[in-house]
Amino acid sequence: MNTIPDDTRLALWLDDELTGSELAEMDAWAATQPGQLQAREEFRSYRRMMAENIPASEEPPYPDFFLSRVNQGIRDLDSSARELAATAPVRKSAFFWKSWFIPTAACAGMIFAFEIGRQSRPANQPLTVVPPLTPVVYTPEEGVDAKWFASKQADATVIVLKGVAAIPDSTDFFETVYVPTSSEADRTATHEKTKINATKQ
Amino acid sequence: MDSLSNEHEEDFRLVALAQKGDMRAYDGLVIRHRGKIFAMIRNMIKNDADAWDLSQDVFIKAWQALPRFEARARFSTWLFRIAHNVVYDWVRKRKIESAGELNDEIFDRDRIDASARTAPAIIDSPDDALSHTELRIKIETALAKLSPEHREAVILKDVQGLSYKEIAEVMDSTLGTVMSRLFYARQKLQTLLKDEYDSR
Repeated sequence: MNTIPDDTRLALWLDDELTGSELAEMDAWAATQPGQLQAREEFRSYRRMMAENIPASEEPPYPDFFLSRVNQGIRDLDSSARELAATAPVRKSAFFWKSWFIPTAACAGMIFAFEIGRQSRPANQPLTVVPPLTPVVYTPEEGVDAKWFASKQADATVIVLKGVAAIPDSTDFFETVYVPTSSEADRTATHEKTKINATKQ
Repeated sequence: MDSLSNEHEEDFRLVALAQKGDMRAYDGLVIRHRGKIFAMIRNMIKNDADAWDLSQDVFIKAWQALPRFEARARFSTWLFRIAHNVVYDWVRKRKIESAGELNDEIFDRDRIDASARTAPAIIDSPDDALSHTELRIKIETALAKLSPEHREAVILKDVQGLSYKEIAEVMDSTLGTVMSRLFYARQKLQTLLKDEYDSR
């Protein structure tokens, strides 16, 4: 190769991107170009410096939680896609009976469901709607097992952690606990005293 | 080279399974590539928390687009393309929210915490570790001074090791544009890191 290569080929050669016959041709040309050979060495040295100091891959913090968040995002996507599909307009069918059968069946179903609901709900009990939750319980500490329980009746959610290290006695919870001031405590005491006296009378 | 092609084959195998709805296979892909995507985004925006969120967006969007993925490109290159779009959408949104107050400051924040949990676990001697950390901070500070396009070109080429052609695909530009961006970016980096260059 006696002619000067174009800029693209030169850039690819400097960055070690050429292979095969193209590389051989460029190497033959560069053998008489000490400046270009030096430039390629400088490029290599620069790339080495970058590779040694800036990692190409860094595990994100809390990798397990990262994965569960991705999975949750995908589940959310899938459920919203299903909702969209459910609300999409239905194509008209060729069967004429569907035009009266579907609305009638839907009405009958609604009435049936309403009646079932009316009979199964005890009187004076407020209707509670519990959203369908599928929580992801993540424990950053290794060896800690977390279980999630929900009670509709108690209207409560409990997370049980197994394997958490005991809290040392030296830990002071004073600042995290509500402690009534002396005047508040006295006022409560006076109030209780008045109530007791009223009961006695 | 063999291990590299084995990696690509494994990627394509997992992609084929994931395209059929196999979530375990997709988890495998996420685990294999999350480090690269997180590192790329973190280097772009210099914020660990946002990089963490945006990396998840990349994998959620990739899942959505997976049926359209064809094995013409490497899976990692395809992910970098999605990451590029996610980062630029995020920056655009941030600019709109801040009503034009910010320009490239979003990219230019050089809040680099050397003691961050995400620091690579390379076991060096104390002296080596210190000089590595110092040099890393210098390089990251210099990178932060480049324009977003120049920075991305450098990260993809010199950190992630993509070819010019792959970078053009990721950044949706021509080979000539990529070459030009890299040329100017490296020139500026050389000026900013003059002492480091001279000591080598």
